[in-house]
Amino acid sequence: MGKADTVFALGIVASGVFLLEESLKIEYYIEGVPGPGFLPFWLSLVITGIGIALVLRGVRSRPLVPEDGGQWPDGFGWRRIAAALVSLLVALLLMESLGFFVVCIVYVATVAFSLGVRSWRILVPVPLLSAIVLYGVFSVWLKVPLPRGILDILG
Amino acid sequence: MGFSIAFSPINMVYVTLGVIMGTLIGALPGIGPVSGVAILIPLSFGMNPTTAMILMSGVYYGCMYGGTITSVLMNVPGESSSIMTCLDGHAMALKGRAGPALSIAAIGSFVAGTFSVVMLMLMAPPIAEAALQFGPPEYFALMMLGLTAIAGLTGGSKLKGYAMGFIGLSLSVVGLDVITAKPRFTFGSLDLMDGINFLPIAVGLFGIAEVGVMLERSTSYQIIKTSLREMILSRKDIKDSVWPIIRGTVIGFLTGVLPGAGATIASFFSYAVEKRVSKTPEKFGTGMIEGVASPESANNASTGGAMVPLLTLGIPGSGTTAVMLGALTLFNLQPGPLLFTKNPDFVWGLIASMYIGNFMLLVLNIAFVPAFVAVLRVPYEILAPLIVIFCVVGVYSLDFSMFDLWLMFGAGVIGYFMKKLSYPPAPLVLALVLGDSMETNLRRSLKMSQGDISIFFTRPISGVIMVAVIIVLLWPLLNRYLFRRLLGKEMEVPEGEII
Repeated sequence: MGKADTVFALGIVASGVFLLEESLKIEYYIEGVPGPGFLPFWLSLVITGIGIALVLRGVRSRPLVPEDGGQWPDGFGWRRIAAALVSLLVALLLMESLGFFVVCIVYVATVAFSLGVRSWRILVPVPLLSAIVLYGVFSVWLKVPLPRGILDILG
Repeated sequence: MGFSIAFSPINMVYVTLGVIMGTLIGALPGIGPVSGVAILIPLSFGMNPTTAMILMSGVYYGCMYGGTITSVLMNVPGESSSIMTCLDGHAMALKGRAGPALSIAAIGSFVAGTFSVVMLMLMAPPIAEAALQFGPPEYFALMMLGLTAIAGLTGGSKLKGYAMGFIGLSLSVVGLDVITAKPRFTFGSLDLMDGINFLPIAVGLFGIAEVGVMLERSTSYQIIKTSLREMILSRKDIKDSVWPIIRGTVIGFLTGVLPGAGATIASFFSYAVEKRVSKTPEKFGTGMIEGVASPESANNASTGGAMVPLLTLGIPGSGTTAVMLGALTLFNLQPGPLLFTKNPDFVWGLIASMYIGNFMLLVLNIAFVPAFVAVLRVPYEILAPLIVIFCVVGVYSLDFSMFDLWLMFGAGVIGYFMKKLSYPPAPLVLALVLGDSMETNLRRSLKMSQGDISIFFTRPISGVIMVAVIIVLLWPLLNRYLFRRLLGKEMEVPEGEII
């Protein structure tokens, strides 16, 4: 975990430096009182400082000492996580064009299938039912304008 | 007045719904009270704010018991506050005593929950009255205390907790400046002009990230069976549980009141105390009913305790109440002392509903355990995509914005790595919720003092609070040098998420 800690901490340092750079473009004081740049400036210094401390700790830590979060997953685990996240990414990209209803059915079925569910008695009714229930509750009952996508074309 | 509001048909329906959903959320792995309450927020937009809070509070204390079911029957803590229950609760189940373990957890939770609601009712008005004296320096100091406590009192790395807290504050400054309305860190984006809402971040960090962690390995759990008949307690069980329930209740409530110390810490402390005072401490972990009664009472008592600073001062006592605070601001209700004078219906209706909710929890969780267990048999490979899609529709419902969904996705990915590297998400979410208010009070205070920072230390109330902030910041050093000399050992704060 030492290397991963160091990389993450470097990310924190980078965000602190970015925040500092941007906050210097904003007014620090306005008519003698703290302006909109005041808090971001000080936050950036603190975040950068903490980030550097975490980098040093990560560099010094022994890689075999397990952190509280536990070990990284094996290849099998990464594939399962990737299946769910990549599917979610694609679902969000297609949400507006295909609509929530279609995306919901395809997403639930795809993820369940990629996680090892093979029974058609689950892969067909569960995604369909979940799409109907969620669409009914949110779009019909709560009047949330969920993306309709191809449902608009179908009328 | 409170009971007339709480007993209205719609509120009775929602408190029942809340405790049922809370129990399910608490029992199901991969979704906890923070993300559960966060996802409910969009569902509650069409509701009266009182009804919405009744629903969310029901979910909050329902979750405490839901985690117990999996702890006892499966040796899997549904929530971090139920970790201690695994030790003796599952051991009791292995000896054929799952029923008494679940019963005493339900009864202890009911007693503790009722006590905490009574204390909330008694303590809240005088605290709210005193808080009317507060000005911007006091409010800023209180928020600093809440933030440093949540960031600094969790187990594990304090630096990581503070890093997350300050990053949360930096996210809160995105958008239009609260005082001058000048855009900050918007980069010309209309979406960023509105700022970063806490809800997609909370759902991503707590919901999506947790699903990722749960998917790391394929798991199948052995569920020990139990029946309604087995839930009857013997006289010895009741006698052995009385004092643990009382101790757990008091410890839980006091811990819950402290900002930053939630149900998890409450349950750990009460278990440690129970073991310390027991005549047979060596038997803890082998199926002692005291080891179930005390932590279960503590985690439920802490929910009422956490509502005290939330309602009276606008300072969340835990991660879940931080999300509730965000929900209240979405409803244009500002928690704090003025809430009691401007919205008494809301406050007393909520408090009264907590009495009713605790009673319903007792009945449901004794009579309907088999029904909840049936849900646990659903494979996680089916639950996972359902939880994610529910998160998607919940977040979209907030502002009908794809940008929020992308924020949720990004927070989910980062949140997964945060979990693996032990960066706590609660300080980030709390800071995001409190950020605007903190900055406003900071700048107003400095305007009052002409830029002199000593204002926070020279005013009596804020001075005392800032001393408490310094104590929290110096806690690791105090722990190492002072307590070791006084007690012979360091005070260990348990690791784990504050819920």
